Amino acid sequence: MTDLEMWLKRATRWLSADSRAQVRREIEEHFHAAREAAMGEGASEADAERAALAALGDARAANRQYRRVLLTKSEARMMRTSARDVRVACKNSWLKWLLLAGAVILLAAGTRFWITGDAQSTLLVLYALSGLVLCAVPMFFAILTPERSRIYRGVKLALLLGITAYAFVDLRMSWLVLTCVSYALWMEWKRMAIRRKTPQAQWPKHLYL
Amino acid sequence: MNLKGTLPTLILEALARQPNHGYAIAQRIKERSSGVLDFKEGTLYPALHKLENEGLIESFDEVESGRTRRSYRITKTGKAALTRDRAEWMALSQAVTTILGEA
Repeated sequence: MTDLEMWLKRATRWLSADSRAQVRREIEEHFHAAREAAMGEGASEADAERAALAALGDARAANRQYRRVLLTKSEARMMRTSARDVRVACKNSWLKWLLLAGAVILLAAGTRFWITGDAQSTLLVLYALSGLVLCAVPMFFAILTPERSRIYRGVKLALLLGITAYAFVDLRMSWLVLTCVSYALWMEWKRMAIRRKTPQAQWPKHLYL
Repeated sequence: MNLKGTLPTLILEALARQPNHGYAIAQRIKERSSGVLDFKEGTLYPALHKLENEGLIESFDEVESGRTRRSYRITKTGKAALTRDRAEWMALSQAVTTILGEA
């Protein structure tokens, strides 16, 4: 393995296959340009390669920076999974209605418990409202503009944080709430990173949600 | 000299004159600063990707000496950001110069 290969291996650690290919291409291009320039100034091939590699700097530092701007393996996997889920939901229109029906039933049940004074009904109503908003809005409105997407994501985050806050009010259900919400929040966190790393013009539909 | 935080602005400045590829951008920054602003070239590309993700620059492929190279050009948003950054830097630099001059 050449020194450049070693550098590339370190610099592209944990990056997705596409990101790795992109880094490899640009660094190889850069390395060859630097080597040719050094050889043009009279350096030997070995010296030119050594200088070009040294100019690239620490591969681990480059890796840290690359991971902030390019998709990692886990993010690329999440993109694929989300795209597949959206495709399934779009192909089967009954699935959307089934989800919506579930949220409506839950809301109705929550409201009934609330009226009869059940303490845990507020939590149920919160869950149902969140489900309704998150499932119904993309079904009836095309959220494909940055402004609509921002509003939708803002509402989604507010709902998730609202439910999390409620878990601390009613501690009896906190284990259940926190288990469900922490996963949703973690997914949102990852999706935020993906959005930051992808130019908006290249966002697939599911990234708007 | 540590370029932390200023590299994106310097890249925008280098691209404001003409589209260029990564190596040429790095050389332009080093040459124009007479070697004072030196940085590790491996960190140039993450900065380029960040600027591209933010829509301040865009990349395209061009053939040079029979070889396809990835080049970058500044966008309209990038030009506006450069104007803003330049004004901020001038104000900051003037303030620091004033303070140091008083000492």
